[in-house]
Amino acid sequence: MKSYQHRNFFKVFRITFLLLIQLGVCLFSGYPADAGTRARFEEITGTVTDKGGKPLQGVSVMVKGTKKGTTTDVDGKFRINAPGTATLIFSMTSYLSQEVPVNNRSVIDVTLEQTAQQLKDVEVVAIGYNNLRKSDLTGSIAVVSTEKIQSVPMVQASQLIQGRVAGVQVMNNSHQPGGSVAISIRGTNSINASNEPMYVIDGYPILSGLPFINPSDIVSIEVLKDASATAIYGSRAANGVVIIQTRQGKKGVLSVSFESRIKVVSRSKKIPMLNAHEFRMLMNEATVNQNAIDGRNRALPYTQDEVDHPKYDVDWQDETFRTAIGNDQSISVSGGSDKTTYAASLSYLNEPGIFKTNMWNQIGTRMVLESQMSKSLKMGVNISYNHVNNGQVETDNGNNSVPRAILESFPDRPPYDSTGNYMVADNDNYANPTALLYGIHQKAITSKFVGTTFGELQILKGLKFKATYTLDIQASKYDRYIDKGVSSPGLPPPQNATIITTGANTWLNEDYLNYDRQMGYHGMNVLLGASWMGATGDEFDATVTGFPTDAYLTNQLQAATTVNSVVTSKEHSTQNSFFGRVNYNYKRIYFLTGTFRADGSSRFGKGNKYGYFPSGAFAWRLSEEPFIKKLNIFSNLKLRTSYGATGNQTFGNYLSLERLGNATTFLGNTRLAGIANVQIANPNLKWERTNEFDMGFDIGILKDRLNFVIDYYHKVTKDLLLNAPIPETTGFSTQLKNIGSIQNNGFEFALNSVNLDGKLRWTTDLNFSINKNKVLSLVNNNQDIFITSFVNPLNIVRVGEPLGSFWGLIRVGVFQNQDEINAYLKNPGKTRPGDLKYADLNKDGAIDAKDRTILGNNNPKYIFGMINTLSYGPWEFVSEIYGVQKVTVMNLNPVVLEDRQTETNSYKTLLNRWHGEGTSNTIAAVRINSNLNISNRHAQDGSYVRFRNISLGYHLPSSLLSKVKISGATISISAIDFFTITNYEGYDPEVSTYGGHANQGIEFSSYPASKSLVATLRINF
Amino acid sequence: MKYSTSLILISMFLTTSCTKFLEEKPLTFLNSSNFYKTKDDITAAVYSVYAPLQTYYAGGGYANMTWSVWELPSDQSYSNDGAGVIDNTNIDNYAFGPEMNYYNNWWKNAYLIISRANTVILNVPNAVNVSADIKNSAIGEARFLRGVAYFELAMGYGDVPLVTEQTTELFPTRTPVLDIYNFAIEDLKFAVQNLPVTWPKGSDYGRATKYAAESYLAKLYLKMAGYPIQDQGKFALAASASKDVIDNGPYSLYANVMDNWNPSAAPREQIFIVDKSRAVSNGSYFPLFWAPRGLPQLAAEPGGDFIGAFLPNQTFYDDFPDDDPRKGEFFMTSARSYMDTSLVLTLPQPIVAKYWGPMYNTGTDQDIVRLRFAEVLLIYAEAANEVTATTPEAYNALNAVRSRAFGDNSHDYSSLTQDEFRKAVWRERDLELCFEGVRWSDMVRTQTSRNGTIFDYKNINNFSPTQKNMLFPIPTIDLQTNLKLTQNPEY
Repeated sequence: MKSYQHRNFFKVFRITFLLLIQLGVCLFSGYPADAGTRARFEEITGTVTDKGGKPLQGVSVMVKGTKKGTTTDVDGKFRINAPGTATLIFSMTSYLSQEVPVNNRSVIDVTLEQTAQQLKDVEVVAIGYNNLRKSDLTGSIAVVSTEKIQSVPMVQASQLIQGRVAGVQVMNNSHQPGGSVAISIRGTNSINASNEPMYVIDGYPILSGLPFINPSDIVSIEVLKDASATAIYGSRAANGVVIIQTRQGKKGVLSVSFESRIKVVSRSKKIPMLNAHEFRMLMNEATVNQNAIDGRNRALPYTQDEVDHPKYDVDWQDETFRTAIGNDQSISVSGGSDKTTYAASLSYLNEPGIFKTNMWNQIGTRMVLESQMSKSLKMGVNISYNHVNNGQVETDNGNNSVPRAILESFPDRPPYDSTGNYMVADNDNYANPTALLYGIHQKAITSKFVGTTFGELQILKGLKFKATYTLDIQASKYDRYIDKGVSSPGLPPPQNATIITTGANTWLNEDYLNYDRQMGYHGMNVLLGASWMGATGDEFDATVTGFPTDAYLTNQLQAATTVNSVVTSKEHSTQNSFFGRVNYNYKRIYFLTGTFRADGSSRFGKGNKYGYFPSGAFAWRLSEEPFIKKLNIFSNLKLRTSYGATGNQTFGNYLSLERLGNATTFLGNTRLAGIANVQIANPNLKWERTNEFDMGFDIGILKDRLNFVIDYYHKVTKDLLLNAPIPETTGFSTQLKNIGSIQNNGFEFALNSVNLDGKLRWTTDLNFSINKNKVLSLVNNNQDIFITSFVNPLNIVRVGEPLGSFWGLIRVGVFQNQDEINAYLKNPGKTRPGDLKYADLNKDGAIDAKDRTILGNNNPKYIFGMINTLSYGPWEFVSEIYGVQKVTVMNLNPVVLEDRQTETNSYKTLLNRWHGEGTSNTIAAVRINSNLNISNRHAQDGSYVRFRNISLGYHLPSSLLSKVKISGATISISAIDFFTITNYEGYDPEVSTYGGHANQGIEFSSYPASKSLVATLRINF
Repeated sequence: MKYSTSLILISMFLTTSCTKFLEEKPLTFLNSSNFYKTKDDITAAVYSVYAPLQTYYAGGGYANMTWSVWELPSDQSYSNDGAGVIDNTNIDNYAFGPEMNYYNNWWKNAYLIISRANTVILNVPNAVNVSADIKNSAIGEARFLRGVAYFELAMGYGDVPLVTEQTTELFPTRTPVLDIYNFAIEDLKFAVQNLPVTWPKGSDYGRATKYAAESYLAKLYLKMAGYPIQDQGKFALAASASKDVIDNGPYSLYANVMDNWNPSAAPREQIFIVDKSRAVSNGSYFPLFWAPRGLPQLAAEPGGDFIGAFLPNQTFYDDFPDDDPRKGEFFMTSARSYMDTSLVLTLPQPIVAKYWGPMYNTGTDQDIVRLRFAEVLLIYAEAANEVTATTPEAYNALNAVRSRAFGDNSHDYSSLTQDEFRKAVWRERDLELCFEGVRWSDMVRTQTSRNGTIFDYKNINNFSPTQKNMLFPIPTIDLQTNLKLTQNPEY
């Protein structure tokens, strides 16, 4: 045992030593060491693989006795010039180093053997303001590695986490390009404030908006889950922290890689709708039924001939969908000299939507530069700029939403009239989808610059001071122009131009001291810092109408005859924080972490500006204890436990203040500016606060071929921020208040397994998590809070129930005859056979609001992900499955497409309507006036299992490539989202039309889901 | 080490720690400590009290049409199919529900007016360098709007919380309805004393005036004389207030009654209106509610359709005397398209013509008429007849409305008993003021319908009002947030 330990230490020492030598050479020599050698140099290429033949990236390849070296690229390829007599040293953390004499060869392929124990010991993890050995962690942190990131072609960084990390639910709320992605880590903590995690890129927090980043720049993504891990970010960390590391420069020769992708995107599902004949037949039937109900004598809308032979029969889904082709290109370079390292990239992402005018084009560039200015001072910059051009289609859930219109528009009407103009709807409220798609020109352009400069000063041995200054500038412009002839209720009149520009400027200064010291058995790392932040947002909107031509679009607003509105606004907020952390370990067996952060925000009430967020954690590496070692089972066994507090402040500015604002009124045909109190003050407004307990085990057995991570957590969020209803007799309806509390309990399990390890290598990554969400208390003596977003109150927040529970009636069938009605209802009124029958829960003989009940909620009982990777020589096959189970989605589409009948086109299933006793017990008789009620018909099972990615890759043989000076090339083809197993009725169960957290999981005419086939070529020079 | 020194210096410069750093400095709004100082501040504050009127009377989406609560229970109109809003039908069927947005919207906007009026009444006296006249006039406008809001709240909900400029209680209890009326009377009396007869420039059309206040005072007294307070003594006050408006007010009847809703007619009969104008993006969508769906070709431009929330009861239409010219004016059985003037459509059923007009996608220019001179004449006729039966002045007032309708005196009333006269006035209100949102309150006030008592009326679906319908339900949202509130009986 002792020798093992010793060897282990020796490995670490040797690698550290190697690094130091490299560093030392850089620092002290200043000149290339090989400047004076006279040996003949040959170019040597080769591939470094692991035992399974899998290429290894980042292997250091050094010419022995010199400082000359390089690293292998993503495909394990290297290229180096060395004398034929030299010896190459191949080394990489967690692998056994090898020395290989060149012997005048020009191609040297090497297989490195993994030392399991080393992987855990030396792998370094970012923990915020510092890095720590993975084995030293006390908190719950999950890492998504480079290879996993590269295996799924995705546009947004957040999508790369989906299904890969236990306890993290990633929801593509809208399937349109660049559509919103919601992430919740360990359940929903907040009703009003954001549930999104904080993003940190290369150590610098994202200050506003989306973290635009080219996925091919990402090297790893970490998810910090428990309070011990996140508390260092205090008030922004209650929803977890996502740390993204991008490619950094390494000393050595220039490495260039190029990635190109082509993707074919198509709809994944079509919803069967009535055709023109069926539609007209049911319209006539509805009229007959309605006349019978109210004794009136409406004429039938269609003659029998018009029913049987409709002139037009339009399938609006086919009319507007396309199979789209998109492509992504990116090139990146990295390298470094003795004192300076650099990495830069340029990328173009093109994500087409399945509607014809919809796309997301993103051009981005990124540059990371670091330089050792003197013995003690290092400085660097980290700059990124992204420009997004997002061609949009109308997708709000009003009448003019394209996804809504393609389902609701009557099928018996053509897109164009006989003169070639858009057909204007003549007897319904619903717009012509073709007009909406081609006659409304809208796009959003966003430019985002993020730049950080830092200086790091070595003050004493082990003591460093780092100061950073980050500037985040985002500018967005939204343009919309409506062509002549496009008109629809709710839409501005034709020839209307709107421009909305918004700007967000944020600066952040962070300064901290880091002290790292190992004294005998005692290891210590101390962090002490402070930060200041300021953010300014502004907006300028203009809307004008009446142009002589459609040619100007939004480019010449001055040509308009009417200025409808000009709006400007501006706001400012500040934040100030102090933070500290102590990591202590004894013999690397016992670990203690204490973290403290004080955060001050301008957004809170006068007396509550600062929030204080402490946390503590303990870890015990049992596998280092003799009594465990004796068992000879565990290659790794660690117990972690933590408790701590984090906060949430992600909501608007100025909400604690009394606010006098505009109260526009009209007198004498004049718009007059009134001023009134529009916001009631709440000087007591304070931070949302989450206290979290976490306990977990990291287990490795069979020399780490099997690794488990198991966690249990218990979180309570107090002082929930909610725009809570207040008595309207105050003149206000709501006030932002700290109300109530929510609890999240959960269990997470992750497994990494090397099933086969040989020529054929098979690995499985599995994660599974359960979360239970419960509202503990609410304002006003725990009164229920209702949230309305459509026809009825759809969501209820009730103590003892999960947040965002759905609320409605229970549908039990269709009344078959009058006797059944008379027996069921005290006052049948106009209720007739063929009407829907709802459960009379309070048994009062009437169906009304008192019979509503909880119909489910959108918090899944459990989620899981599984990745299987099979590699055989140059071939690699990956399959990824993602599942969300026991979850309810509130599908509001049938309210319009089945219940509302005749107002719009309907689902094909309406053919199964009630039309006489015994004909249907699920769908009501068609009528003109329908009773709309949210019920269990709409609360649908949203469970699904998705084959998220199935891909096959091939590494081109280096013998072929070396002739064309390419060190590696990979071709792969991936099928994304091709199969989904679900009972959900809409396009896709992974959906949420409304942004709020209390009403997550409600679908109303969502953007249709798509699948894609992606071919990727990756070349390294 | 020179780098380190400068780095530390830079950092220290940036880290200016103090509580001032976290102070919020609003850039786009004010607070009350720096407002209500000047004449302009006062004007802006007063304007804000008018703002909720826009949604109070005719606002909200089609699902929240506040007019519904006063119009649909009446025996004049019903909720049309196709409106797609079940709550309209529920109101029509007397299934008033406390969770319905309609009742909440009415309540909420009334209290918004009250809270803004309170702010004006509280802060205006403290303004400096502003004359007492200007202050009193501003307070008068605020008290006018607050008085009307309380009057209408009390009519609808009965006992309601009394929130005044002195109230600091966030959770008030309900105050007896009589005290609410008396409070409203004091507000309106103050307005009568301090408001001008007219406002000088055109852009002030729609502001409260002395005689508007007195007209509402008359209307309020008449209500107090009827159900539920039945204070007969109030007839005399109603008569004297309305008499003063008739004798000294600046109003007279239009020769053509339809000019009340004609945006191009010069104001004459209107006493209080809510201003609407397309030119300033404040068009009225009110006409949308009065024509049935499926007739978009009647609009003034393509793209719109009507909603048909309110349609006339066939029984009311049949009952409307055929020889009364108003039948042809107030109802339409066919309509001419504004888009294609050659197109005349026969309508599937009679619709209300009072609010008919060119409907653009931006609405119409038609103001919402809340109180007009014809009603004041009928208030006087009714009240005076109760004080002293069938006086000549009462006949004059009643017959002024009738003779305007018929164009001559041929249908004037004469030689009626006191009770006949009373019923004649009620019938005249029914005919003249139809669809103006007053019929249901008249039915409650007089406890009558055209079928006899109010409870004898049966709507198109065979539902009748019950005792519970005499008051609206207190909105659920307020019961939930203020546990000191109680619900009206039977809800």
